[in-house]
Amino acid sequence: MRVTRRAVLVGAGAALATPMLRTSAAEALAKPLPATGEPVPAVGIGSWITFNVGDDPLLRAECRAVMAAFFEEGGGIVDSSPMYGSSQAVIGDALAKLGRPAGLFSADKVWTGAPDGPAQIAETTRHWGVERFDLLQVHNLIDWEANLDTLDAMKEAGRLRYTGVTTSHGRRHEELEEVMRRRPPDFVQLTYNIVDREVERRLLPLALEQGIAVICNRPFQRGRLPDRLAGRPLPGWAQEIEVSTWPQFLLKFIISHPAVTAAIPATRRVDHLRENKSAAFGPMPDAAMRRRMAEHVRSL
Amino acid sequence: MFWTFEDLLLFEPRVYWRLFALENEAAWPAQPVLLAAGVLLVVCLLRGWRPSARWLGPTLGAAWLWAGWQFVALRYGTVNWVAPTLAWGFYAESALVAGLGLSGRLTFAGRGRRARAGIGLLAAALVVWPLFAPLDGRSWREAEIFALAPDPTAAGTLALLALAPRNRWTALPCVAPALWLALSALTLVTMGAWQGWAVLAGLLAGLAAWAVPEEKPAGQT
Repeated sequence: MRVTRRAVLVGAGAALATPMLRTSAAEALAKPLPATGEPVPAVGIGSWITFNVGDDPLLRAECRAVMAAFFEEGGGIVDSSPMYGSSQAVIGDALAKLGRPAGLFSADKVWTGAPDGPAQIAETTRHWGVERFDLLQVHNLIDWEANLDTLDAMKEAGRLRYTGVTTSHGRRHEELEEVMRRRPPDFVQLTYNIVDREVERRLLPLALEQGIAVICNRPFQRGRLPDRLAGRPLPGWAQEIEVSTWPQFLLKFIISHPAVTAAIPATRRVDHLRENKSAAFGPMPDAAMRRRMAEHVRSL
Repeated sequence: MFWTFEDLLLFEPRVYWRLFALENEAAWPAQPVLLAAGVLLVVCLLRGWRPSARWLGPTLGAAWLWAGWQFVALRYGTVNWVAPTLAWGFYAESALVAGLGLSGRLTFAGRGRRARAGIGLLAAALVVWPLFAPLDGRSWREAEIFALAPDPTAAGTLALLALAPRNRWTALPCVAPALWLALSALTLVTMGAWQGWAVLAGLLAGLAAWAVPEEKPAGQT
């Protein structure tokens, strides 16, 4: 079932018009996928760099602890790519040792020319040890038309639930827009955070219009944003959205956008993981508050 | 937004340093043997003895083969998918120094200030490099040892080539160590590690030592 464009727009309009989108204190924000209405936790986890620890048993145990905490906090999207070194194998190892916990929304990518795509997907599946992926995305638009053919065929055959296309670092937005208009996948993944906001102009509205779920990578600009803000006091009005740390502030800004489905901050620390997950609780900022948040960070 | 070298860095510094701990654990007790042999070689060189390239060339080749295969391909390759390709440069260098040594095209008979500069750098590669880890506040287990870790192996090779005549045959084996040290320095500096500057200094010292003109024997005009 694909949720209609009208329903999504009405929902988005309601979210924008509502003074404050409130989740219950005990329930984390989960957003419905436009394609099916399936709710997905608004804070997932990325694996770029942090989970690329090779065969090191000590560091793998640390990653496993982060994954365990992620599932204790409700799980959600776990995102990786063949480009991320050993991250896929580390995730697969953690999933096996954690006894395949409930709450996993498995997301990976195809990062090669289309002729090699199926073999790479088979290798990725082997690393994760999953029967099928929830989401497979074309990494950085590589050979995107032909790779989407492969993913669509897998979805048609019931071997994949959702398809997607990714970009990062604000690159190739015109090409991504073309994909979203001409051949809309179920998901797009792009860079969006409180300072990298170019996608607000065209891509996020287009995602709403086309009924495409949005995953936001680099929510902390690879840790630069929390580092930059560390030591500065949060504004008093941040209490209105029940924010007590800068990472929560940064994540609430992202996941409260009506077009955004989830943010995927990467971390290797359990305390950071729990802090990130806590951003999905409590009231979310409305459009006016979001503008205020962005202006405040820009002024610092 | 443009790609930077930092965007291409796939791992965190702690992951990179832990690779040396794992390598040292697997190679133990080779480290004290290698260190003792290295110190003995430096002392002998300082006393004027010059080794035959027919055994030192293949020995150096074995060091490149081991560092390339065990560390670069098998260990570094677990966190950097480019590493197994880079290891081919180590295998080529291994074959080159071994072949040049066995063929007689390579000798380590140099004397004078060029050779002294080479011996100084060799001592640094053998003895100073392992100190980088504790100087950085890390464990001795992460020490980088000549013949096991690529950086001191490359720096030590440049050092030994400063004892060889300066010609095209001895220029050729300078290429792989120089390229590796340049890449390593860039990686470490991007990681925010001060060791990157030390590696760069090692590279420049090695190239400078090799470039020093050979002194003609006394009486020759």
